[in-house]
Amino acid sequence: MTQKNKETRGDDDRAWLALRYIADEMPAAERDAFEQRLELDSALCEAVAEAVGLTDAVAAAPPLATPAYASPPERNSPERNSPAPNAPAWFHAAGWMAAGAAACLAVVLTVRPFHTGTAGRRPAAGVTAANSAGTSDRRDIVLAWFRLRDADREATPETSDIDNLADTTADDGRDATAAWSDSDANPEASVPGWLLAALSSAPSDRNPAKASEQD
Amino acid sequence: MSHCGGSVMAPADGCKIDPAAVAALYHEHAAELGRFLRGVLRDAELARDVLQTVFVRAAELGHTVREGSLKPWLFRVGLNEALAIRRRQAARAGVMRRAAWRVERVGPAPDEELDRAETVGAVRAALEALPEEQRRVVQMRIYEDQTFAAIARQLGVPLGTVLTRMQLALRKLRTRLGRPKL
Repeated sequence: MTQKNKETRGDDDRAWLALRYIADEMPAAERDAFEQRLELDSALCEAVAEAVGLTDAVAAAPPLATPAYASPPERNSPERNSPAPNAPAWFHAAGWMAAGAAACLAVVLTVRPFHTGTAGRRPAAGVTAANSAGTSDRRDIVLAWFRLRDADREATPETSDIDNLADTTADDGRDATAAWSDSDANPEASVPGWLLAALSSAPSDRNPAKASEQD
Repeated sequence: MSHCGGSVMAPADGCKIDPAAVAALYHEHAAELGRFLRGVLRDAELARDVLQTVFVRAAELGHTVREGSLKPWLFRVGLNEALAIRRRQAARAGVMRRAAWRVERVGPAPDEELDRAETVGAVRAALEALPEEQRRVVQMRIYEDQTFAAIARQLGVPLGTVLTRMQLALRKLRTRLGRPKL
């Protein structure tokens, strides 16, 4: 280490000691020892004067705008996951836009299944369950019709057919009316009007048994 | 300068120091000595009182001081006076514990105002040049008068980190500003 470096180091050490002294950041014993040194070391006295001048100068200058000094957020706390306090404005704006887009997407996914029945669109795979209430009603209607038909013909349709019908209604999103209209080509499978009406308006409280009585 | 019979002495005045020499001493050392005394006393008014006492002593005893040792002598006299006052105050009302820069300052002299305006700009530039984490510690310590331990708690970093940041900041500020004239 050169002589100049040693002097610089000595100056830095004195400056640091002086700052701690004037800031009252010294334990009593160290402070007493420091004051004894002051009697013998004029360079240390100058360091104290310099430290006071420096801190005066800093204190006299208007403080610079700095972010709020907050304690670091706890791990996994919401604060920790939020944008940095000094993040640029566009960063906050982008965050809000992303949140808005996510909310819109959630609304669309929630509402869309209720439109698929009338719009004839295929619902998203994850939405089928949301439509299960309507499917169940339609299935009840169809079952009631088959029971009536069986009573007439003494022939029971396979359950899988019923399930297929219900699934088709739900999965394809096609109106039950259209599904059964395909079978109109077969006179054996002609569908009564009440059933078409019931399926087209399902889910409904209409009781197929009563409707059959009307028919 | 300070020896009896020297060029600035006044032999007719019983070998006491020439008043003009005292004025020169005051002009040369009073500002620095005043800051030193404020650092020791943490009280601007008391520091001014002690400063006056020191120069009265210089007028009375300056001729006894070895040439070239006058400045250290002034500081030593000032320190002893300041410590004596502090001891008396401590005995009366508890130890004075506060930061030197938090003391309400006595208004600066007119010539100090000019220096002050120049220095404020330089200080701002020096602060802006500091890395953010160092500037934060400086501001919390000096503007908010928080202890280093409190700063460490608030920032969630070890005390040693805060001390290191302050020390590095101090070194940079000293390099940029030299000795501010405030």
